[in-house]
Parts: sequence; structure tokens; C-alpha cells
Amino acid sequence: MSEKLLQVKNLEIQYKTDLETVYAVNGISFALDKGETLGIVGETGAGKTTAALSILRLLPEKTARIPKGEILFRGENLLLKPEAEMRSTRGEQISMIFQDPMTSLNPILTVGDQIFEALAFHNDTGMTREQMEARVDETLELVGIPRSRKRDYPHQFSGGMKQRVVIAIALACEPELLIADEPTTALDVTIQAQVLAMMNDLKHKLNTAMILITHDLGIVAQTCDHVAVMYAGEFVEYGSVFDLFTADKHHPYTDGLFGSIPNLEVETDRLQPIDGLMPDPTDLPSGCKFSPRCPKCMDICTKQKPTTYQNGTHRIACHLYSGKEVEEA
Amino acid sequence: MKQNFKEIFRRMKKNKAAMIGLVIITLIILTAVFADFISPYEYGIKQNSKERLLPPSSTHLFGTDGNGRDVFTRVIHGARTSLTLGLVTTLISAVGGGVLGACAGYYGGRLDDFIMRVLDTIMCIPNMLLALSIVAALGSGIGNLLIAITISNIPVFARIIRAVVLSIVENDYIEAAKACGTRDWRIIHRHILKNAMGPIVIQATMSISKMILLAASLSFLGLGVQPPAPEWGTMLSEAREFMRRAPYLMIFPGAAIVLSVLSLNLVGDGLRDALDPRLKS
Amino acid sequence: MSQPLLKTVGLKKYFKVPGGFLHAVDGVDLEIPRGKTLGVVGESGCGKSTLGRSVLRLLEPTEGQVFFHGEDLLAYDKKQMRQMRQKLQIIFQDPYSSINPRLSVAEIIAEPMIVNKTFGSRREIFARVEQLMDTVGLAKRLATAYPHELDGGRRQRIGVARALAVNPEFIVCDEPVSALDVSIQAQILNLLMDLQRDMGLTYMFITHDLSVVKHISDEIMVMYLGRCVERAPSRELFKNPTHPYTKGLLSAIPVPDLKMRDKTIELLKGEVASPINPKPGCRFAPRCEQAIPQCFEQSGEMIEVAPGHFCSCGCKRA
Repeated sequence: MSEKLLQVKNLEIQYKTDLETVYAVNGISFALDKGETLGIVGETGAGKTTAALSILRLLPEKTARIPKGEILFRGENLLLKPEAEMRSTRGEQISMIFQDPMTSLNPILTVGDQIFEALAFHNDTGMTREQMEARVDETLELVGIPRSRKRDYPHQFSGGMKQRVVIAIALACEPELLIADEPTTALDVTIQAQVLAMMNDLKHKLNTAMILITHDLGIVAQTCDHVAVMYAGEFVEYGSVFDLFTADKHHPYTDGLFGSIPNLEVETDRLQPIDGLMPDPTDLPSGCKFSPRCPKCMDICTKQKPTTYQNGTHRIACHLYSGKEVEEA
Repeated sequence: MKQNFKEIFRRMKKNKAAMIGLVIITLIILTAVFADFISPYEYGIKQNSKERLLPPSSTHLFGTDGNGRDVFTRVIHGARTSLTLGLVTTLISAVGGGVLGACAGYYGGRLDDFIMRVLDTIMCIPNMLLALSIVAALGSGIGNLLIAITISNIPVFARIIRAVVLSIVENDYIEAAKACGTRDWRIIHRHILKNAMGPIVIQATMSISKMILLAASLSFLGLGVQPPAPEWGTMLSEAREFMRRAPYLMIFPGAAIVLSVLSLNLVGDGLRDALDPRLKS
Repeated sequence: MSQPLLKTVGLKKYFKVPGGFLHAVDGVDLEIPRGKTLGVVGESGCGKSTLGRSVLRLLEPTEGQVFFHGEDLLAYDKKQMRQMRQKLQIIFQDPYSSINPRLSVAEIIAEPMIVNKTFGSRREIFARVEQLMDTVGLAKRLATAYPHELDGGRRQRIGVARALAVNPEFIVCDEPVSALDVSIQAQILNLLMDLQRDMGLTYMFITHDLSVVKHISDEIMVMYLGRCVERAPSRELFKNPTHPYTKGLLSAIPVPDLKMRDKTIELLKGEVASPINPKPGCRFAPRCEQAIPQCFEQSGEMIEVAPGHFCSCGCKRA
């Protein structure tokens, strides 16, 4: 079997302050191949962004601890890499796009310069100035911005265009992995559709692997190959996009998420929300972390951590299905 | 609110400099309050020609001045004058500046322009010069000194409070208050000033020390507190004559000014760090 | 039909900006019958929030009329308007900036009653606060809590309770669920719908989320650059979108369904033009694929294309 591009194994992340410990990520595992897109879905505080930042080793050094786990990128454990090497990995092999395009651009540099800077910093192949300038033009056109706007400053662009610039910077060095943290949340629907379509195109063109963090199941259905549903720092459900949208069995939390969105096709009088709130990440419930909010909670759920039920690529961490449990591969 | 104080104090405790400042200023305040018990007032003003210019000793801790008065007594009674001046002027200018700043920030438009341009004009004149000219016009004395330094301090408060108010007015809860028919004055005091208290308190702490300095400077120039009343600035001024023969006459009131100003600034810095939400752990 | 609870005629709100006027709301006519919900959808900058605030006179409209119970709100003086405010309330988008962080939960909910002197004694006010907290699903023990101790969903419930405190008839909901997580969003939507059923409230529901607006509204108005481009009963609008902009908007929603996965969608090209000193003609014309020269010259009138379904696209009938 060929080596996976990215493999995350049993990753745990905590934030420690003198007052409390926040259990942000509690043992997640996944693998990603070249050209694949993994969607991570979950609500605020589920640990999605923390997990993403850890791959780039961008967690706040003062408070974040990684007590367990491995992040293998092309077989190399990123957690053990020295900072200097990590710096050249960032941007060159792994890039990240943040939610807010307004704050992730430098307001006093032209967009052309910002892309150029990313190229120059990772210029291992010894491109000349002209070659790099040409590459800037190319990248801008790739994301649908005419090259004539190269000399414009960020404030001269609209929100959607800015996010395109951010994507252009992220893609300038043709990274193998792109991490997008809610890339379209700050955009309007019609602009979101444009940006998503563009990202889809680019993914196919460049064969980039992508981790897409979102809270919108619609975006997942339209763009991802694999989906992880994250709750309280754990993947409660993981599988291909077909597993998630067509299989009969689901984690009760996933069912809850689907019940919470108003459906455009089917008329519903009342939404079926999930009761209660996200658990406090400093004081997580024992057993299954979803048990206090779960409509199908059983005795065992509050006492014992659920084992994983697996059916093909589909994994569900829930006691409901534990009778039919299959050994994890 | 109570929880807030506890939380702020907890964060301030981490800041050693601020805690040292707090201890020193508390001590200075306590000596000022109990000055009469520590050393009666008469020693500070009664002249005694037999005991002129004695160096520090066990009977006169800080020595005696050119008129044979006990410097220690004068310094601790001076603390009373200086702290009271600092507090009262800060209080008045905070209220005055607060009203002006809040109105300018809340109503905006022409009123804002008018208030701010007038205050800008006042701010163009250096604090010291402004206070000097006011005192010169009104005549010297503690009451006029108070008026002079209060007026010179109002623009500073008004500016800061206006800026704070402008950022608070942006919040939706102000609009919510308007939506249920709340009158303007209630919006200002219940929704705006209540939320502006943090920055106001910080500014006030810093301002007390500035006022103490300004009062001392004016008194030094003979425009403030008149002798024989003990005041640090006046004492420094009187000590000039004997600078060579009796340097302690200058050192002790000087040190008192430095200590109180420094400790107040340390507390102010500590408060600012403790109140800044960005540093919340 | 009986007279609508709220009606606007030619409502306009312009803001003076360097270089001209920003036409935030540019001639909007709408009617909302008692006990119903009008959904207002549009993208950022289309003037939907300004519309909501102009209706409540939180912003003074530049031109036009707002009728509430058949009386023109804009003709009221300050005192009359203050009286009237009890009937017209608003719920905000951001649960963080919409409540005063220095007041306790009970104080926040009591504030409108104190201001309007609804009750004589403290005890009566407190009893009402408890009742309201119960209505919106807040536990009584939270009465003394401060906002920073609560999460977004609970804060939004406080905002709802505060709006209900003065027994309003009409509430403008300005993106009340946009800042919330999906599961919490559903809780608040259900709450709003229950309240409408139990108290006969009338809503103007402003949002950019089309699936939410379909769920909660009886009628939907689509706005583009300060103008209403299409207005129709909720189901009708989704079944027969007529205006090219509405069509583009509907096709842009990512649907959580794999059937749509490989369907190529018709993307709207370009971006929203500037609302400052807009050119004559249809506001959508520069982005419209079907635009004809006429579209750039005069703006379309609202035409009834089906019973209750109005559309402003002129080229359809040309």
C-alpha cells in the first residue's frame, strides 16, 4: 500500500493555564491521500481549528500541550521536526486559509507583493525575479483575478476577492496539503458559491489534498470526499461522504445536526434541535461525551467510552452499534 | 460587580510592581489620615529659633528647617494637602470631563465638534502654563490652585471618555435601549458610563499623580499653597536657600513626591493590565 | 382583507457619504398581516438591516411612510413615539454586543419594564422577569448571573426575553440566529415560532440564510441594493423563482444532499455594485445574463406574476 500523504494518529491536545486544563482534542485519527478532501464538521468549540493548527504547529506555545499522538506528513512526524524545518514546510508543503480574509492580508502591501513574498521565502529552485513575477500573474489568474490588479492594495478588493487573494497566496508554492478553516463563512452565498467552485476546480487541477473545516453540511456534501463529524474533541463519526449522507446508521449527534437544519426540499413544521449545550471542555462528561444531550442515551453511555463500530470506511463511536462491532483496522 | 473586583484584584496580585505601589500608597494615605496622631500639627508650623537647621536625629527624624520646624511633621502633614488636592481635582475633572466627553461621544455632530474644538484649544496650552495663568489671574491660594489644575485636567478626561463612549455606543444594547424608549440620560449613565468605568478608573489613578506634581510645582513657584502651611512644593521652594548646608530639607519632601507619584503610576499600570480584556487568561 | 399590521410606502433611507448618497433602502413597499412573518433576504449591503431599523424609526427614514395599525409612525412626535416603542421591538444578531455586560440577567430583562413604568413595585417586575425567563427557556437560577457567564444561545434567549418584556405586537428579528451554532440555531427558531403561535406576534425576519427564511416565513421579500426585487409567499418563491437574482441566489445555496453534488450550478457572475449614487435602471442589470438594453435605462415595476407573487424584472414581459 502506498504511503498516505497525511496520517494523524490518536492526537490529543490540551490547553493548560494556571487555573484549568482545556481538553480541546481527545484522540483523533485520520488519513488523507493526495487530491482528497476531508471535511471536518462540528460546532464552535468542538476542537476543529485546534486540530488544524496543530498540523502546522501553529498552536500557542505557552499553553498548548500535545501529550499523545503523531502527525505523519509523508511519513515524517511533524511534531518532532525542529522549528526551522517546520518554517519551510509551512506554506511550501502545507498552507492554511483562515476564515476572515479581512485580517489575514497585510493592508500596506499590494496583493502582488504579498504573493511574491510567499514565493521568495520558499524559493528553493532558484527562480529569477522575472520567473517569480510571472508566477505571481499566473497564480492571480488561477484564482480568477485579472493580472492588472496585481498592484492594488487589499482595501481595493471586496470580501470575496480578498478571499481569492488569500487562496492565491496559499497556493503560490503549490502545496501538497491545503487546510481551509471556514474559508467561506464570512462571505455571501453567491460569492461563497463562486469561491467554492473555484476551489473545487483548483483541487482537481493541482491535485492538492485539502482539509476543509466547516459547520455547513451543505458545503460538505458539495465538496468533500471524506467527512469527520467532530464533537468535544473527538470524531464521533467518520466516513466517506456517501457513508455520511446515505448510510442508515448514524451517530445520534450527526442525526441531531441534520435535524437542526431547515430542509429546503421537505417541509417541516418544527426543527428537531439537539437539547442542551456543548460540554465544558475543562470538565468533560465521563463515558460518551455526547451522552448528556443524547436522546438515545443508555446506562452504559454515561459510564463507558464507546467503542468504534466500523462498516467499510464508515466509523461510528457509539454504544448503539457496539454489538456489531468490528475490529478496527 | 463584586465578582469583578475580586477578579481584578486576583489579576493585579500577579503584578509585583503594582502590588509594591499599592502598599506604598496605602502607607502614605494612612500617614496622611493619622498625621495628627503621629506628630501634632503645631510642630509643623510653630517656629523655634533655637532649633534651626538641625540635621536628622532621633528627636527630629528628618531634621528641622530654617525656621526650626520639624521636617518630618511637615512632610506627613504635607501628604494630607497633596493627596487631598490630587483626589479632589481628579474627582472634579473626572466628573466634568466625563459629562463633556459622554455628551460629545453620545450625541456627536455639532455638539461633539463644538466641545472638542474648545477642549483642543485648551489642550494647546501647556498644562503648567495654563494653570499658571489661571492662578495669576485669580490670585494665589489653595482654592484657586484647585480651580486652575482642575481646568487644565478636564480636556484630558473628556478626550478619553469620549473615545470610550464612541466604542460603547457601537454596541447593539444601546440600540436595544433606544428601541424600548429609554431616555438619553438613562442610556448614558446606565448603559454607557457603567461600561466605561474601567478606563475612567485607570485614568483617574494616573491623574492623581499628575495633579500632585502640578500642585507641587505651582506651590514651588509660590502660586499655590501659601506658607506656613506645610506642602511638599512649598517646602522644596523654602529649602532652596539651604541647599548646600542642609540638603535633607530638599531630600525628604522631594522623596515624598517621587514615592507617591511613582506608586500611583505603578498602581495605575497594574490596573490597566488587570482590566485589559486582551490579557484575560 | 383586513388592514395589515405594518405597511410601508415608498420607504427610503439614504446616508450622506463623501461623494454622494448611499441608497441603503430605496423605495420599499411592504405589508405584513397580523400574526404572520415576512422574511427579508439579501446579501450583505443590500439594505435589509437598514430597512428593519427604519421601520422602527431607530434610523429616521429619508422619505416614505410607515403605517402601524393604519397610523403613520413617522408623523409621531418624540413623546408619542416613545409610547409606541413598546409595541415595536427588535432582536439583534450578535448575542455578545446586544446585551449590557455590566447588568445581571434579571436587570437586563427588567430594564424595559422599569423604563416604561409598566409595573409599580419591584416585586411585580421580578415576578414578570421570572415568568419571561420561563417563557424563553432560561433557568431561574440564572437571574443573578452576568452575561459573560453564559453562552451565545442563552444570551440570545435573554435578548428575546427583553424584547418580550414590554408586550410587543411586532418584532424585527435582525439575523437572530446567524451567529449561533446549528443546533442552538434550531432551538431559537423553534422558540420564536412557538412565541408567535402563543402570543400572536408579527415578525419581520431579516436574514441571509435562505433555508432559515423558508422555514420561518409566510411571505418572503428578496432585496438587492436597497430595492425589493421579488416578493412571494414562501413556498411559491422557492417553487417558482422569477427574478434572475432570486434564481441565482437559490442555486448558490449548498444543499446537504449528494444528488446535487455533480450538478453544475448557474453561478452569478461578478459582485454587488456600489450603493453610492446608483445608476438608473434595474440594479441587478450589470450582473444579469438576460439583461436587455432597456434594463439599464428604467427600473422594472413590481408586477404580479402569480397570485400574491410580485417580481420587478422588466424584461420578462418585454
